[in-house]
Amino acid sequence: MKTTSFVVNVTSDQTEAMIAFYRDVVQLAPSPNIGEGAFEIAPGSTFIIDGHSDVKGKAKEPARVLIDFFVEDLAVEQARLKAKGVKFIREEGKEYWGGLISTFLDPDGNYVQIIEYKPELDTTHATETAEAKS
Amino acid sequence: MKTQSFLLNITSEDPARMAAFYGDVMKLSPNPVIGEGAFDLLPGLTLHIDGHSSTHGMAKEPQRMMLDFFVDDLASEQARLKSKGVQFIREAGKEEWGGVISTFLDPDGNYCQLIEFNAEEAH
Repeated sequence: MKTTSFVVNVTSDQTEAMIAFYRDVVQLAPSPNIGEGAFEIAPGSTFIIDGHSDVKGKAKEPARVLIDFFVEDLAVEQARLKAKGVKFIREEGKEYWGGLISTFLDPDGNYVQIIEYKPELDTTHATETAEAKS
Repeated sequence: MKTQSFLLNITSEDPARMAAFYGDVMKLSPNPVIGEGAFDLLPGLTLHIDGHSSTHGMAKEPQRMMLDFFVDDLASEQARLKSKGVQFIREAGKEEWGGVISTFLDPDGNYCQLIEFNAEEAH
């Protein structure tokens, strides 16, 4: 499928609080051409927050879709978000593929993650090397 | 926040079935760096499907997060997907801003949408 652009559409019954969170706390880049609640997350890719008649209250299943932002310096971003009162449920968890992951909640309780890739933590290639030697 | 790239991570009890859907039916481009279950949507935006200990069965709240694929020709993409048995719950619905939207379900019942933007229909 050839896609010309892509939108991740998060819906909420408190869209103003959600928009303020992603605009003022997370500080995503606004996409004013699309309108309030739209943020550019990559060229041609937009994150949009709006309402939906069937969506009420907190996310019922926040682990179903995780929103992952790859950043250069996880520690700096995490400290910045914590200073603004953002709640983290996992801090600098190490993944075997080299990822360092901190997970926080948006106002609806959706899971949002900041991830820094650290090649020195990547054990997948170490395994390959060990196998090559054996 | 300055982000280097963005990844949408969909978790499933049956990630292999989901990856087959997004790869073989949707025909998204595989992302060979991340590997199994990863697809490049656009530069800097990746979709990754894997498992999660608290994700079971069908999506309980699929309206909460929707994946919108903008395409040049909605009718032909919709016809192609329907011929492969994909279930649509909304077909060529018109939005005031000029969007034509068809909504379909992935194997876990997550909502995906094909969207064609027709500027002349905006009002």
